[in-house]
Amino acid sequence: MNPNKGDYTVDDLINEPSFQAYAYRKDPENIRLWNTWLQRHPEKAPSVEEALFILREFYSIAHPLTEKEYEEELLQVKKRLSLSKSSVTPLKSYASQRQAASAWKWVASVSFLLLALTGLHLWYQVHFQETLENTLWAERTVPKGQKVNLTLSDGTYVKLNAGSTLKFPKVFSEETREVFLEGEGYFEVSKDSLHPFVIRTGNLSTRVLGTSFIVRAYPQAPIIEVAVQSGQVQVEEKRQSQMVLTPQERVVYSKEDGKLDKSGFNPLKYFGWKDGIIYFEEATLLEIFEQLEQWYGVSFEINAIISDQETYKGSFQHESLRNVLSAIQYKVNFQFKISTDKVIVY
Amino acid sequence: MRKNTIMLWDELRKGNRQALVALYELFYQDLFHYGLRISLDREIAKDCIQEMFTQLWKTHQQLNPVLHVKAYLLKYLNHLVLGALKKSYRKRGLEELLTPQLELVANHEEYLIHSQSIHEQQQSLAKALDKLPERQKEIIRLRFFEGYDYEEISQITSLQYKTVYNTSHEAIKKLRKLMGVSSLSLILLLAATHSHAVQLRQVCGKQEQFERG
Repeated sequence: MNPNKGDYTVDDLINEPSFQAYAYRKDPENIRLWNTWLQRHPEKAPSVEEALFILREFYSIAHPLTEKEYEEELLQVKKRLSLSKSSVTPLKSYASQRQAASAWKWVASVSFLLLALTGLHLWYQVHFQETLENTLWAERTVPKGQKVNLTLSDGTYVKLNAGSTLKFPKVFSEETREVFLEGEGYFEVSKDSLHPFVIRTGNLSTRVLGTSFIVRAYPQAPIIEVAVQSGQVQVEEKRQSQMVLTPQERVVYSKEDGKLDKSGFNPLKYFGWKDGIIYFEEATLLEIFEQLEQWYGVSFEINAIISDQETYKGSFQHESLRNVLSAIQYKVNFQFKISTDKVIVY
Repeated sequence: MRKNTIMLWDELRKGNRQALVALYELFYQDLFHYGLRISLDREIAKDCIQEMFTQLWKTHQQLNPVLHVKAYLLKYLNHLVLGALKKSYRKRGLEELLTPQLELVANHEEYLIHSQSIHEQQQSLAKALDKLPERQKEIIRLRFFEGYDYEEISQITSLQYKTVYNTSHEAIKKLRKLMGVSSLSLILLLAATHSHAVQLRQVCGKQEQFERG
């Protein structure tokens, strides 16, 4: 840095190591240096401000909140607000607090995974418009490569998978607790027998009956799937055909013919993702890459000939994209290069 | 959206804790991003957000109606983070790190209010980065995202220090041009307009009222 130079542009400032140290508050000397410079060139204040803004924006974007941090923070704030199920640390006694507490019924957690598709929203939209009038709705969309945890007003916990959207009332006030899902989500539904919990996914609705259950489906797929881990779930197709599922049962709904088909399932395939497990079976390399695209928020560019006959089975937990691809290289012969958000396979 | 958050705010004032949690979930990511940007310290950012929500609950009966909930929260967080920073730096004898550049950052919440969500910002940055030539992209990544200095980057890439410096300069220039319309500069432009200045004063006014209350 040259203290006598007065014509630093915003780009110059951003690129100047001592200015970077100034922006990131690295050492007092650079702070002194640039403060003095700024006093001498007060007309440069807007440039300094913009450069600081951009450098710190970079810093903040480069150090994003992790899902785990968010989870911990949410838990903590709920404890501090004495909202958490286990919490017994009321902050202060207000008359209104009693109201809130009574709304917060003790509940056993009900879990289920659910997934829906993008296409069938007509009914959903019409319905949504109607309820919009008297309910306050929120919407949460998860970009590729991320997962998001939500706690609904009744204490229901939802983990949304990458590329999914959940619409839900800020505060459940209707007789049924209704939410709308596009994509994939894991639900732990708070038990409240007076207010059934219903997940709308196009023509298919999943209704919580007993203490606990699990549901799941896949986006853009010709089917919707609901898988139950524990408890009971009722699946309804436009309220015409319906089916009750008990633990270890799964239903496959065909969007084309509207048929419901019940069978058993592999838990890893349906519930693995919420514990950070990527799982695939009988998947071609292309299908695996598609799954990785979604999981890591990258796009694949395939410059190699890939068999669509060979299928593979595998699972990875909390692995980096590089490690997953390296592991697949043991079985399949290909090379890859990873850049910011792109993977080139050759 | 804005109307909805105002309704949540009013619910909070009436003592609805669920509304506070809803606000928390709605704004947490943006608040964290903002807190991190001013503090450059994620623990301070997280602690201050916790503190803010705890305080909001404790004082919910004294809260005033606000025009813009997010603006209010960012302003409040700014106040808490600066306080925490001062304390932390004073403890380590580094007060110098704070003045007067803090005065410069103190107005930035303005920009965020009108800016896109964090996800959108990240996406537009990623898009702009993607348009850079490979070498520029790599150097930006190493410098600003991996935190290497030019000396280290020069070793990593086997490029001359001068080349690294110049490439980085070109990349920044190009990046700002690419992002210019879509986010950062626009945000800065917006912030300069009169109506926003008025709104900021209103937000600040609320803040003072709140503190006195």
